[in-house]
Amino acid sequence: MKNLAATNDLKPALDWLDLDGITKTAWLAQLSPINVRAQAAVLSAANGRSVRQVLNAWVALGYLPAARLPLVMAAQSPDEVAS
Amino acid sequence: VTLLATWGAAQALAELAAENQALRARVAALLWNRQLNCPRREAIEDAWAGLDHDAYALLFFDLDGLNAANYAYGYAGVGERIASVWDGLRANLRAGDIHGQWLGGDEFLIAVPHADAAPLAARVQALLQLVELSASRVIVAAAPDLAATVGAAELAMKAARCGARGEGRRGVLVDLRERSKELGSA
Repeated sequence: MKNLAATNDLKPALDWLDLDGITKTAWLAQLSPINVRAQAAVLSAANGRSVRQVLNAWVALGYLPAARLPLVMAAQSPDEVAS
Repeated sequence: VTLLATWGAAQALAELAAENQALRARVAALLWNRQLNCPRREAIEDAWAGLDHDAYALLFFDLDGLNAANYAYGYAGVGERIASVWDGLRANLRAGDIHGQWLGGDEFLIAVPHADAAPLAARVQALLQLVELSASRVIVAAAPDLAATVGAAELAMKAARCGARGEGRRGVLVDLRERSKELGSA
């Protein structure tokens, strides 16, 4: 229940992405793991949540297949490498 | 002698400052596309590092039917139309926002705080309509890596356009993913 509440809480924050008709599911399916992570990282910082929480919410909302999570979590953004 | 030396040093400093100012003006001119009345890609790349990425969204737009528009209005005519759109948009931009030409004469981007992105997208479409142009546009999150952010926007736009052309969105998406893997970016 706690996770579900967190997801519902995050949904509006994730939904401002406006992809001109394409679904978030289709969009995320095209992005490489590192780019999925980069997009999640921005939304996480903007909403005071961890990247993992944003990705979990995307999975719970059906935007991202759970099977991609390990790949995305393993991907490191250039920003993270630099720091 | 001391007075003369001081005067000489002051004059040298003034000349240096004038030279510096002229150089800055030349760089600024190089970073500005006069025909389209907006900053060039290099200016966007320079400004991106200073952006508060967490708070910003990228509005990416791509003019529809540029070839047909060039044929109808001529290159200069299309340039004037785009320049007038930027004139109209500038009043809606805040200090710190980033805008400009990305690629060629038909891909442009604007980085603004999240809340401003959707209203600004509507404003862009309205201004384009006034000059009989239109554009596809997407809004994504602004990540520190500019190329990755634009890449995320371009992929969404390509997929939306493929779907709009009725080629079967799902099939095309699979192709794009395979293509990404071929390029080693997946």
